Amino acid sequence: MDRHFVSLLLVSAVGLAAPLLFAALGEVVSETAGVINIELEGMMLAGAFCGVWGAFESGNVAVGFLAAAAGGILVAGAHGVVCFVFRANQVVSGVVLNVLVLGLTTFGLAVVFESNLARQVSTLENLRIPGLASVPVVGRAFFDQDAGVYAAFLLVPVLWFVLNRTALGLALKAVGERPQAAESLGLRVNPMRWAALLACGALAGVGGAQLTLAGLGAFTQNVTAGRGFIALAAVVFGRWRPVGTMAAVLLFAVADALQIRAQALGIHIPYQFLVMLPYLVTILALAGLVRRMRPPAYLGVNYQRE
Amino acid sequence: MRRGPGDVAAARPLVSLRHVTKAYPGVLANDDVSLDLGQGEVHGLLGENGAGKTTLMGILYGLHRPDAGRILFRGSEVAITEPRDAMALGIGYVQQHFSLIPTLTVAENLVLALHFGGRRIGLRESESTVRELSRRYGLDVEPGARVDELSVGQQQRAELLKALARRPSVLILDEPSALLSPQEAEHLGTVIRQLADDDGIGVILISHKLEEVLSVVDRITVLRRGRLVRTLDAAEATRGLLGELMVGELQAGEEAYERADRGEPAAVLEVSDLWVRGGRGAPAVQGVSLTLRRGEILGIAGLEGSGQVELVEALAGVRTPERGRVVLGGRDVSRLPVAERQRLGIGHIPPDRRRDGLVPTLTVAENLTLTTLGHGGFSRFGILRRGAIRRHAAELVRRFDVRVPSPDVKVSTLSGGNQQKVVVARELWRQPAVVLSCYPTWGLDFAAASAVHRELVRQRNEGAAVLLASMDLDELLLVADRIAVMQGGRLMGELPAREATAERLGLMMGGAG
Amino acid sequence: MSAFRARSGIVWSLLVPLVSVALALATAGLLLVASGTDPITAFHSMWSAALGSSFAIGTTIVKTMPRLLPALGIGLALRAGLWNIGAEGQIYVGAIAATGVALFGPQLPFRGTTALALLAGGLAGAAWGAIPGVLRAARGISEVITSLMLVYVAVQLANYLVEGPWLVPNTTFPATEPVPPDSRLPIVWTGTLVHAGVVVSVLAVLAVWFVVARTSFGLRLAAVGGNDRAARVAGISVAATTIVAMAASGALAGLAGGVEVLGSRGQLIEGFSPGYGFEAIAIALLGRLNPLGIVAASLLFGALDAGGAGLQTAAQGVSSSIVPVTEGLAVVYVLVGLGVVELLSRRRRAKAALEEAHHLDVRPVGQVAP
Repeated sequence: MDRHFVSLLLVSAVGLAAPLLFAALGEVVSETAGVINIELEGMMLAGAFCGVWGAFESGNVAVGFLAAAAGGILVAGAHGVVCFVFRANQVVSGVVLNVLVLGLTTFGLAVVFESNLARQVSTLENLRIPGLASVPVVGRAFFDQDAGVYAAFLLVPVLWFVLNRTALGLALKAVGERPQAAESLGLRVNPMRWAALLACGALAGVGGAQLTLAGLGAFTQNVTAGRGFIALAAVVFGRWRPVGTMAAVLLFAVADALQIRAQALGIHIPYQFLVMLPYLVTILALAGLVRRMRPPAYLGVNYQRE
Repeated sequence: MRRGPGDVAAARPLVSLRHVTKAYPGVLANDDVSLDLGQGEVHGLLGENGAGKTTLMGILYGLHRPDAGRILFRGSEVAITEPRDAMALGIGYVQQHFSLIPTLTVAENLVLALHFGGRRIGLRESESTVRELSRRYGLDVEPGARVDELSVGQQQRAELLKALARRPSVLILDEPSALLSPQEAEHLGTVIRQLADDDGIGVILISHKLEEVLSVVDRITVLRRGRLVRTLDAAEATRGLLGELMVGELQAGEEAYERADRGEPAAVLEVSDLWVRGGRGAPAVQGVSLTLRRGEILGIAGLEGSGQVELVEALAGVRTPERGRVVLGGRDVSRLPVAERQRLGIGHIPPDRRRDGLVPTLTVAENLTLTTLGHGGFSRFGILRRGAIRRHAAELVRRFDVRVPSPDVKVSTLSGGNQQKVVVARELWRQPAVVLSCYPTWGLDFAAASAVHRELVRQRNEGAAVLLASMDLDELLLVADRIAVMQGGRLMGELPAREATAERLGLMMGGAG
Repeated sequence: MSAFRARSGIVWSLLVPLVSVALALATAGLLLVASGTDPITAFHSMWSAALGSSFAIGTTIVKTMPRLLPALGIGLALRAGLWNIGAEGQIYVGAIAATGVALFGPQLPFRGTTALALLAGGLAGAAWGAIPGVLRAARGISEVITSLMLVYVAVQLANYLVEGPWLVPNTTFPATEPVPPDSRLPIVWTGTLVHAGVVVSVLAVLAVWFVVARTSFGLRLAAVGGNDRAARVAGISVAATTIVAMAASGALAGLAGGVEVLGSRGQLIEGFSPGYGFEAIAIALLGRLNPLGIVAASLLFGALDAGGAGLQTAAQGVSSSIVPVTEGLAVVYVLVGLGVVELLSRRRRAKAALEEAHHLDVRPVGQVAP
């Protein structure tokens, strides 16, 4: 493996990581507050669709990202109504919303774009940061990317600060860890969970748009292809923390980038085994074979007063 | 410095609860309860489990909504619909189940508690506040420590500090000393007086420990089955009077059970040096040794958290002991699973029928079969014999007088007393050699409790060795042949029932030592 | 009183799914209108493709099987309070095992190879399902995430096989050789595509019903699902019940994979399951965990699937994706409907409790004299 190869690998890994990172960070917020989103995949898919739709109608990529956030929020809102208002199980709601969003976006693809052939929209351009981008090996990977990539990675320290250094972050943890105790502290549990859930929807939607608007420039059926589940795995593997989740996302993205380039490299591991890596390490991690970890105590448990 | 009764009466009350009523399915948790708390007063709130103390305080703190009644604060009516409202009025509540977030540090918990009470402070300020309050009240807590790494006593102190940091005018303490050592509890008493006398805080103290209550409070209110029995000044209260108010006099019609003669020396179950860990990982049973004999009822008296529950669970096989031996008929069963012990002749009436005893989604007949699924005439090659199960259930329903339209109704539709009869029937119909029962009459009315007592006595008379763990001294005095007292995970001593009185047992139970 | 309550429970458990399906179809109709399609034409072509002829009905039945079997398993696990989210993966490993036996196993007389291949499929699914069960029983890890993660491991395993060692030499379409005709499930309804998998499915329904309703294991499942602590105190091994329930659940999904390969497809193809295992979760819920309800819900989804295929060919510009939309909406409506029923009954219970406790007077807050 020469330096040039590593550099190229990192460039594509960081690019692949950005959509995952948005969604995974959203899920960190949501799970910290005790809400699990199996429909993270659906949120990303809705974002990917709405992003292209918005950009297509307006001719403006920024509008596309806003529409993507709205799309993700819509899915999150449905999850919230079904789980918080009608008290359905969060896992069931998530699974069903995935089916529904896949159907709706496929249907919408035919209707909005009037054919199954996706319309091409303009994509985000790379913003090269002079000087830093010339640093060998890592320069291009981290300093010659589009705005979405920078935003995703800047979100990590921001989220770290919010979760660990602000009362809001402490409140989110309290709501996910001991809702009854949080209530007696004067916190409003369900409104906090709503906020965390909708934030997650917005971020996952943006993550989906990052996939279509920064890279492909078009929406195709099921374009997310399981990335939402990888993001879900990254949250677990990252131990529900922003920095750990970023590390997990980068690891999974490198495996993905490697998988794409495996043949060029002459590696003889079948690529499918690299693709299954995120899922396998997450199971091992959960089983405590790698490192013992514990989810928020009330993750996925709906809260009702009295 | 305690006030005279006149001081409190003269002062305008800080808080008044007026005619508060609250119903839950099947129980009236509070029925027309009124209570006044003055400034600088320590007001004891007493009652058995299920008497409605915690519900009443939950209403004052906005955790529950009353069905009827109102709350006055400094003379004017207030609406407290959620804890924020209570906090805004300066009401603090240290609950039995801690409201600390275990994954955060003490200082972080304080930031959170104050922030949503309307005072925003940083982490550094929070740490110095913890230190300052620690010094002032002699409550030693490390601000940077994560709560789940603290001992129970430290958590209790942190909880109190958190409440104090809000500078409350009213402080509710629910069983604050239940998990503390006698020394810690005594210090807590001093702190409570300091809060009332120096800071003018009105304190409501819920406790089971009568001595502790009598030593710190100004007035006492006693609840029984959701109703207010009486409010009295501490000066006129004695242990005996309070006990009587809480439990009620032995009710008319209560039959006196004959005692077994201690003529049968045959030991059925022998426990030696048993150590068991409790839910929080702390040692709950510490080196208990006891012997259960044929044809007698051994009562184990103790307060909540004394280790009774863990002891019985370890004997039944629900909890695995750390060390020690449980010998049943010459065989060490301490590591055997529950089903195996059932087969060897153990029947177990668990402490909480809803949590530990019954599956609410199953029918009465199915619940009656749960312990005998693997054998008996109820299944063959894994296939249920439904006819036999139904006949058996009908028979048990008759024999144990379960009031139920049909054995095929869901057990969750039954009243508490009938649910308990289902558990008793399931565990005792096979006439087990050993009957383990923990709080078997908890929350039952008089008639249902008597039915359970009669059945335990009948089992004894037919030769069973019965262990009865209870918090209710009258119950033990009524049916037990020997009474041992458990406190802090250890057996403190034992009396033959003939020589036992509530007074003597109470002294042993209350942690006088 | 309680008999009345029981009857009203049955009414609700029929009414909620029926109303939900009707509403979902209505919503789908609105979406079709909004997209400029005549919903009558669309629904008509769906009807013809799903139920319009014996061939259409046969297609519906064929499309029902891979949904029915995993849904039965999911319902079984859910009786014990366990969420088998990973049926999709168990379908894949079942299909892999069945294909492996059919292609490389011994060729036995009297359809012995078929039976052996189905058995292998079921066992593989059981093993795959048991993993989350063991992790939950031994280490207290929620089965939700682990079973979900195992889906993608299984899918990639299948991808590896059909693109690698099992790929037909000198071809690129990711699929194995067709299994020998003698190993396939034979057509049992001539003139349609209905194969002997339908017999397997009916037997599975009966078996699940029998286990749930008539065996001590079924009662243990219900006890663990209803109150696992009480079950443990009563001497039932919660760990063993958990593992067996997850394994049985996986076995049914694995069987579905085997039936799909040996019956419908005749070979293992990359991505052959378009999410049957996920749909099955919705079906189990729509069918309210009752084996008969699950049969009805699977038939509904099978018919929608068969009809969707007709839609695509019949009406220009209408996407068959209206089918998953309808399915998803139906289950979302069921979740909402069940929530409404629960909220109503809770309110009724609370009021009854108050009246019962008070015997006579219920005084609302604020109307009490001081």
